[in-house]
Amino acid sequence: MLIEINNTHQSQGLQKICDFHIETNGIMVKALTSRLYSNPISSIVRELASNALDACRTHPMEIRLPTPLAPSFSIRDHGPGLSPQQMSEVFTRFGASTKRGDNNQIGGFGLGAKSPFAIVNSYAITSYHQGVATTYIASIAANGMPALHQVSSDPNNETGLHIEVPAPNTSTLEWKKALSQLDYFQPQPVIRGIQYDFPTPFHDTPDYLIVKSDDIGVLVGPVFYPVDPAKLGISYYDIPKGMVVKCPIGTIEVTASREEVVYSPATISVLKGKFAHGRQHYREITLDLISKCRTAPEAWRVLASAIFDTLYNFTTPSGTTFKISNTALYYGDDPTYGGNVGIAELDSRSRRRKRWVLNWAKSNCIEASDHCYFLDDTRRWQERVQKHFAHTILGSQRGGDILLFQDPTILDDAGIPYTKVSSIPTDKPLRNPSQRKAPRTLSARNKLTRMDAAPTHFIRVDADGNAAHRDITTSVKLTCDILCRMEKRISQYTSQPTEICVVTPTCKTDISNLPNAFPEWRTIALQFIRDNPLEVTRRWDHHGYFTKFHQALVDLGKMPAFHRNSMPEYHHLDIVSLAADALPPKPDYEGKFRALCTQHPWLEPMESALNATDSASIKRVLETLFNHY
Amino acid sequence: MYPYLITSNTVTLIYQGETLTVTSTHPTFEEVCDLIRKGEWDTAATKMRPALAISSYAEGMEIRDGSIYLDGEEIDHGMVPHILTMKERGFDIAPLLAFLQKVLDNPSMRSRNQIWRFVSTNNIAITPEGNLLFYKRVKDDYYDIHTGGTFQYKVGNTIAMPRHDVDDDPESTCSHGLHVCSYEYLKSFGGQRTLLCEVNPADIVSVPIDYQNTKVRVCCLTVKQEVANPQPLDTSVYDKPF
Repeated sequence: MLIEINNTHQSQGLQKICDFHIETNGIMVKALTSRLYSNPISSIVRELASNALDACRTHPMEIRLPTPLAPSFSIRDHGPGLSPQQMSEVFTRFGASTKRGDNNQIGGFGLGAKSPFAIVNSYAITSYHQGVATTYIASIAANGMPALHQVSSDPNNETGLHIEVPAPNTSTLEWKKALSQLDYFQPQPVIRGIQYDFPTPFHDTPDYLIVKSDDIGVLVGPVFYPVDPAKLGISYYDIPKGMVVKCPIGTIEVTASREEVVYSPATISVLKGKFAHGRQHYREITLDLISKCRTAPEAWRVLASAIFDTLYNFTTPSGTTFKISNTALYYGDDPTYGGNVGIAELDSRSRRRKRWVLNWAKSNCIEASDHCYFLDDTRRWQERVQKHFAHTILGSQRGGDILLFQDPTILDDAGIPYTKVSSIPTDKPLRNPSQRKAPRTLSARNKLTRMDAAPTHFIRVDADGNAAHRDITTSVKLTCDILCRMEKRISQYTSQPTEICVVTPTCKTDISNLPNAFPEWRTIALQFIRDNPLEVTRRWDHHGYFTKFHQALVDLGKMPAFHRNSMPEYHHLDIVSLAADALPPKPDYEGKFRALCTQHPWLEPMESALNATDSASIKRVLETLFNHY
Repeated sequence: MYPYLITSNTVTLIYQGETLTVTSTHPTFEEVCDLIRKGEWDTAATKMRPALAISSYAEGMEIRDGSIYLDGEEIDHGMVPHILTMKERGFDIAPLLAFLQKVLDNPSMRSRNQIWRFVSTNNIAITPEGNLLFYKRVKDDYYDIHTGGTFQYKVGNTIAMPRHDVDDDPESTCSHGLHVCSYEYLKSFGGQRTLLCEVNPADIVSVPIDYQNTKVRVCCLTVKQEVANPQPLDTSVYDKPF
């Protein structure tokens, strides 16, 4: 690994007294070995395996984990081995490394070969080099200083290095866990003493991997490091689960113990870029797959297997009552029995609730997936599915299941099955304590709780295809409340009866013709842009261009006038690309300048000089102009 | 004379060109240091590398890369202390081989894994045929405690039920099946009479996770003897009932 030290150091009027020194003593050795690593076993495996990989990338290294039969960790590479001189000059010197000028090599701090001292006072090294096998023992003497002892030297034709580290009485599992850092080593190490299966990524590209895991990480060269999205300033939900981005050695800074990534500004920027790119690419692939799907369940299946397979699969009977213990969500009588869900998946509100019914019906939960949806606890999860779903079906950037319609024929035309919820009371409060026992017609609340998938957003679409959407964040009650207000507002605008249709992503009909559901809307938008040639930028400006656009639609009688605070966002209409179609092209100033340059060659050097700010350059520009005019 | 190095937490011996090394957490660390100081190299080496000790004893088993294999199937590491104990106590390898063979004959991988978990936390008392010995408590009339009248456990009787009726879920702590136990569990077992039963390891269905793996659910057992004063069963071969 290239490690650069380039500090600026300019001084004047100072008298240097002495340099700082690093004392060589037992304490310092301890600081650089046993006190350096927070997880010594994992570090020993990583450091020794990285050295072995640096030594030889053609033959797989052999690793044997400690077992009760052979209680030591051993690693053998098939590189050239080390000469006695190299052993004394590099292997035994803290901070000495031959790998600093080279980003193809993992090591560079000059500490890794000494890492076994973190757990034991001695370990054995056999170097097979140029026809001789020399065995050494590295040990820490009584004063804390390490020394290398030669034990034997015999003729041998093999090459490579064999390190044998005695293993403290820790379980083999702890060593096995450490092997996960070597998951992406090429060639794959040969593991002995325990059964170890290297993972197969779901998806492998030159820039990233998707693996079966909830966590995200980075491969620096071949070494895996976990990444904390919070430290990158990225939301956990913005990165597909199990995404591991690949970064060349040297682009990501790691701590001297090499146990974790250093979140420096440079590293953060590289990682952010990599994750953003990976996410975009993965999204494109997924959307491409979805676009080839003919029905919603197919699309759902693609989503489920592409992104959400790393989430939670349950196969519990419909209507199962779940209970919550301190550690798990469970059904049945025994907290240790049955389909448990980690408590971390439930937000604090659900945990307080102590008991609730899983509100889903397996029969309605399309055959594509046996995922179950908690009413609001995995809201973010649903949001992500629906985002993709609605994007494909409705052309919306955001998703939804509930559609308010003045005229649901759009749905009929599009072939989307829907459920009508027509008896929402428009002016009465949903829960009137005095009327609690009074019989009521089936309320929206009842209907909504009977839906097969929990609503998290709604999209309101009127007869002209105007759509608006909003999160339904808290509860069914609030959902109904919002729907009531929506309905009321629409009824103020029009005397036509308004129907609320509930569309769930379980529809099984053909969706391929849906993106063309709003042709008239698009025509109006194009005409509006032509008539009002304002500067269209990517920034949404609700009180500028869009307010005017909205007002134009209201004036045309194409949409109701809403209160200013509930201004709908027309995310599903890509106004920028519409504008690109509608507006005349900008004058090509640069092209004109190039054309002039061909006629007047003296203009060409002027381009850079014109941007200059120093007086000499400006003077030169003026002189050139004087000469020509 | 072999080169060696003893430090406060490790001992390394270069024995016949092979590096043997253990840490102070190893149970035989002090013993190994003494043996090396006295120059008893062979004994020290076998203590440091149980593989060396076993290889001369466990004929029929293959020792490779720190693991034991029988007929190409890996034997759990939990067996290592039992093999060493059997060797130290001078038992023949045949009963142990028979036991391992019967474990491998168990049709369920899930059950096999549970047996390995059992052997790693308990002593194993086996018969010369390789069957395991367990205790069982029954009522005064020799009927089982749970149903009170389904099976009568008379000495010499073999009691069996279909394997698929026995709960193989180790997390179901009390469920369908014939239950036997080790000495440690007896105090939690109701009933008036204590019986010693012989169980073929291939008939073990599950080892419930409660009570430190001391209870075992099986589908077939043979009652060998009624025991007045039950004793803890060691890892040994019991050729005749006590």
